[in-house]
Order: sequence, then C-alpha cells, then structure tokens
Amino acid sequence: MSNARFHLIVALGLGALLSLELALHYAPVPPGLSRAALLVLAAVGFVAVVTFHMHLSHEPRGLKLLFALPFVFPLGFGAAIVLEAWLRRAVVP
Amino acid sequence: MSRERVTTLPSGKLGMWIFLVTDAMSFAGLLTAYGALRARAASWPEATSWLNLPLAAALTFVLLGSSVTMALAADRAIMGRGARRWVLVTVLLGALFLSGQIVEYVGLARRGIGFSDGQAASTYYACTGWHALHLLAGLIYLSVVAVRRRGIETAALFWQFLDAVWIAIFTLVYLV
Repeated sequence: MSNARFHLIVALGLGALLSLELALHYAPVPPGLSRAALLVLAAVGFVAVVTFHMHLSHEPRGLKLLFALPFVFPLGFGAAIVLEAWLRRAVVP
Repeated sequence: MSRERVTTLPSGKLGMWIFLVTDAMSFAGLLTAYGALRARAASWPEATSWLNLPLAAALTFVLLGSSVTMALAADRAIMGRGARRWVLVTVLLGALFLSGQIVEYVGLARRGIGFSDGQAASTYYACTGWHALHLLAGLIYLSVVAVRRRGIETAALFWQFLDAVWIAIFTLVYLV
C-alpha cells in the first residue's frame, strides 16, 4: 500500500471515530457510560495520530518512552478520581 | 521492535521530538487542571448550551483533512517533488480552522462570555487558546518551510501533534 493511501485510510478511520463521538454525545446513553466511552475514543484517536501519522511506532524505544512520560500524570490523576469516587461510594451507605 | 538508538536520529527530528515532549507536558498540565476543576465543581454548564458544537465539529474535520495533506507533503518531500503544494494546502486548511476559532471567540465575546466568567469559560479559553497559539505558530512555521523547501518532515511532526492534541481538547471540552 502506498503511503498516501495509508494516511488517507487513517484519516477516514479518525473521521469515523469523531462521528462516533458526536453520535455518542447526542445518544440517550447514561452520562457516566457516555463519558467513559468518549474518553476511550479520544485516547484511541490521539494514539492513532501519534502512531500512524507521526510514525512513532517506527522510532527507537527510548523515544517512545520519552513521549509517554507527559501522559503518566494525567492518567494517574484520572485513575485517582475514579478510585476516589469508588471509595466514597464504598464508605457512604 | 526498533533497535535504533535515540541518539542516531537526525538532530532536527530529535530536537522536534524533544520539543513535542515538553509541549505535551504543557497541554497535559492544562487538561489535567481542567479535569481537576471540573471533577470538583458543584455544577458545570453543558457545552452545547454556550459553545458552538456544530462549528467546532466541522473545524475538527478540517484539521483532520490538514493532517492528511501534511502527511502527503512529508511523503512528497521524501520523493523529492511536489511537497510544496501540499504544505500550502495544509496552511490554507489551518488558516480556515483558526478563522473558525476566531468566529467562536467573537460569538462568545458578543454574548459577554469572557476569560474570567467562571471556571468553565476560563478553562475553555486557556485550553483552546493555547492550542490556537500553537496553530498560529504552526502556520508561520509551515509557510517558512514551504518557501525554503526544507525540513518538511520535521514540520509535519509538529502539525500532526497539534491534530492529536485537538482530538483530546475537542472531546474533553465540547463532548464530555
């Protein structure tokens, strides 16, 4: 497959992902579930652009680890919010 | 898995990746602050009640398109011909995105929603404004690259990164 066609397919996939996000936003889905799905889709979109358009997958392992560093804190923070909500629900009857 | 070492990368490309890592920290910090404030807030206005979601969605697709044209420019740069045309198309699409962002800001300003009008407005302007400033810098960068016809692959990394970050901002600020 040519590079141009590959990038076009990636972009079409991202377009479909964003359309799915918009559909999910308007769909009558419980807010918690909708938010979780939207966050997962956004993460998939972000990783797809970095991996396929920026070709991070072809770069040395050291660079991949370096690029992952800035996202450790936000991910940890997100996990802390979920954990706190879960603990609060577990403690309060 | 690639056994290549980071230090063997071309200096321009390595420099851009290091810059993107530091830049990712600024965006991660802003979005984390947004998440922290929103998680602690007693109430948070629904984005569709005060932001123009159809416009933002259309602009998101424009930016996705610019991502393809920039990838095509990088490919053509490797082949050694026809890259400049695609860089200029990317600049046009980027300028369209930025114009749409300005339309959104003007609409908000007309309704009296400024930077200091609550946490939702402050965080919205901070996240999208920081991204818009990067996009403006990207437009200048790409214009220079188009004229010099050098460094297109490195410039493509910066542009694609802005596209990736916008997907996160659009989802968090407009949809979640």
